Parts: sequence; structure tokens; C-alpha cells
Amino acid sequence: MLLLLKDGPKTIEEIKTGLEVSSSPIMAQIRILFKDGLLVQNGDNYELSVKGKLIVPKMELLLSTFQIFNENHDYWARQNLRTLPPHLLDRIGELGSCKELVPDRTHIFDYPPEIMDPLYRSGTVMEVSSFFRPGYPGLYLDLAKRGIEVSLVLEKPIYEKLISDYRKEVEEFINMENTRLFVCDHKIELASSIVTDRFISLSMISKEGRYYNHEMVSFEKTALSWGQELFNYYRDMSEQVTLI
Amino acid sequence: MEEIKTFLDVSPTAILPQIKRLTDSDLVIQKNGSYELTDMGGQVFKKAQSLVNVLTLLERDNYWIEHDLSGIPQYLLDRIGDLKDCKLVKADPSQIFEPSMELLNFFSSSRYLMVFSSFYRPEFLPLYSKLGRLESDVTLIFTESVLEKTLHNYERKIRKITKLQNTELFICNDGVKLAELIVSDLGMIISLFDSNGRFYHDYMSCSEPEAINWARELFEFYKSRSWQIESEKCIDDLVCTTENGAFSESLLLSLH
Repeated sequence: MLLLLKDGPKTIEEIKTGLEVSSSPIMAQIRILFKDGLLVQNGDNYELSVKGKLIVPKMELLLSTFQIFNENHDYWARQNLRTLPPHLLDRIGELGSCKELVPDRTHIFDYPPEIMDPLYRSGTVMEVSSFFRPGYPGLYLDLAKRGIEVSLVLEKPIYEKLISDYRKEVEEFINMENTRLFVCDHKIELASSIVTDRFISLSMISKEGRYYNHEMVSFEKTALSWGQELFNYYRDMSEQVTLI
Repeated sequence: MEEIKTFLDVSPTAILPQIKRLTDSDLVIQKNGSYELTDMGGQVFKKAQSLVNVLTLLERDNYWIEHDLSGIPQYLLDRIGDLKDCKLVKADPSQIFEPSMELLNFFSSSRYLMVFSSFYRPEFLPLYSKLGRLESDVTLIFTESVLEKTLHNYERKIRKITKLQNTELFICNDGVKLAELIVSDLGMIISLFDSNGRFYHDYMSCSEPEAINWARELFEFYKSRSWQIESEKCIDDLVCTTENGAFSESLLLSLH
């Protein structure tokens, strides 16, 4: 109920619908929260008191951190979380409900099919990457040709490999109107992060520095803006390539 | 392990099951005979700590919920737990109109001093000039009416203070929802209005580094919303407005 009221005042009817409960148990809860001074009544509306407004966001942050780690406990325990920029690690709960996708043997180097469909339905695609995927020039060129805005931030060695192996495709890519390519001189500690207007997909490196092909995917709104900030973080320390 | 036992003052039998729970859930890890937080543990700890800090702050004193917090920007309100060690200093009713010697003494040997004031405190003027002469950095922000009133009564002193090398004077609009904020390397005090805009001579005070940092950031927030009085000419202009202001001189005099 406190989390529901964090978004603004609600009437008793709205609380009941929001929490899918009947009147009597909810009134008992409301009385407890009143007694603790977390709630105030304003006409027909119930809202958080000043005290509630100070406490509830902290509570929510702790809960969301617990939730994200709980849901994929083994995954997060294996990864080196410090490969994320500290300000975004502090807000890791914003990724919300995540699912780990691991490709089957026939697609071992590709994106899992579950994200290919949303990838092609996206309006913008942004990726930060520190490793080379065989799909790189082809897939991104294809997305761009379908009118999708594509922005890539690549760590320098990957960029250099692309240039030497796929110069023509890279040239075609950067000459398009809806594409941007950046080269990052700094170490990108993540394996990769794709964020579109539909989903975010993270690939991280384990504590022992190992990588296996996987995608940690979330479709939640808060996760998308988190991913956008992650992209901006690396883009801001990179140089745009306009000419090879 | 020995350190944990001593610090928490518990027996191994009491603490071991707790540690096991934490290691089982990958929040704590044992490395070379000592225990430390994992990355996940660090994140959970941070969030739990910030919740506990806010709870401690609210438990300790009702000051925060009984006063108007709207003068504090959201990003600092999010970190209000940094003020958890603040203590309420109540004014002695018999001394309310006397200069606050306590505060003056406390801040008298500051290496830097930042003062935001929306009420008139002429007794602090000698402190500003003393610190300014001692080459401590002094930054002052007064609301328009406070500066006008101070200028009216202590024009020469103010002019002298603004001429000091390490002293900066700023002016901000009236109606700010912050009564007073003083920060130095020695500590900080903050006083707020109550929800009806009334002011009592109570303030919250703390010398912990987190509280000092918090207060410095709040001060910077107000500084960025103020104008610096850089030259004598600014003061000349201000003096003129005061003299042509709504109050006639005789009225002001009769108030004293």
C-alpha cells in the first residue's frame, strides 16, 4: 500500500482496486499506518505523510535491490558487478524483472531468438560492446536499412577488427543517415549492453573474468532509462567516427 | 571473526548461524580467514543503511516532520539520512533576543564559514570580519530584506567586509523556505520554518562529516540561486533602493 501511495494520493476505492483486496482487511492496515504516522487523510484521499515520503522511497530501493538479486540469484552472484558504472550499480533495482536467455547450441554466437523479434520492432537500437560478434556488420546494417536508428559504441580493438575485416560494410554503415558509430578509447568492462525503446539486454563478465554467450533481458520502463544512461555514459567518453 | 565478536559483543554460537545465512545467500564471503561483503552484499548493505539512517533521523527527533522541508531540493532530501546525528538545540526563552554567544563561540575558529541567513543577525558581523582578516574563506548569502536592513544599520561594516579578499557576499530573493544555514569545518547548523511559516529559535546541529558535506551542498544550491555583490557600486545601488523603499527612515528608527 505504501508503494501504491508513493505515486500520489488515492481514494479507498483506488487502493482496493490497486491492491485487489476487500475493505475490511485494508482498513485495519490503514489504521496501523495512521498510528505509525506514515499516512494522512485529505478529504477522501489517503496519502503519505512527510514521514512516509521520507521513508517509503528508501524502503522501495531496498526491496527492489532484494528483488532483482532474488529473482536471478546465481547469475548476479557470479558476475563482477563492479563492471557497471557505480551510479548505475546503485540503481540496479531499476532493471526490475529480468530473464536470462542462453542460446542453444545451433545459435551459440547469435542473439537468442527471443530478442530478435523485439530488436526488429524497435525504433532505436543502441549498443555498447567490448567484444566481437559475428553478426556485427550484417545485423546492424540490416537494422539500419529498415529505418531503425542505430548507435554503436565499440571498444577500440573491436572497431579496428571491424575495419580490417569489413571495411566496406562499416563505410556503408557510417554513411547512412540514421546511424552513429563511436569508438571508445577506454576499457568497456561490460561484455555488451543493448538498449532499444522496447527492451534492454545486458551481457556481463564473471568474477573470474570469464564470458559465456548470454543475455540478461528486461522489458521494464525503468530498465530502459537505466540502459539509456549506461549507453550515454560510454558514448560521452567516446569519439564519433564519421570517416574511416 | 575475532573482530566481529568483539565489535558486536556476542559469542561465536550466537553469531555463526547469522554468518552462515549471509554466506549462503552470497552477501558475505570468507577470504583468507576474514569476512567481507560481496558486490551483492555491498548493494544490499547500502540500501539498508540509507533506510536505517532515515529511520534513525526520524526516531531521534520530530523536528524534521514538524518543519517545512520544501526549501531542501529533492536530491538532498533523498540524502537527509546524512543528518541522522543532528541534535536539537533549543533556544533559552529568556535569551531569544540576545546575541547567540553559543553559536558565535562555536564558529569563531572556523577555517571556512558559509552562512545563509533569512533573518537579521548583526551580532555575527564582527565574526565575519575577524575570520575574513584571518584569511578564512567566508561566504555569506542574505535575503534581500536582511541585506537591506543590515546595510541600513551597518553600511560601513558591510562595505569593509566586501572589500576583504576571502569574503564573498551574495543576495537572494525573499520568501526562501530556509531560515538559517551555517556551515564550517567545525560543524553545521540548520533551522527551518514550521509548516505555517513560523520561526522558532531552535536549530539542528551536527559536527559529523556527512552532515557537513550535506550542508555544504545545500549551501551551494542556494549560492547558485543568488547574485554576488561584487562592487561598491552594487552596494550604492542597494542603499538607494533602501532609502526610497516603502519604509521611511523615521519608521525604521522608531522600530529600534
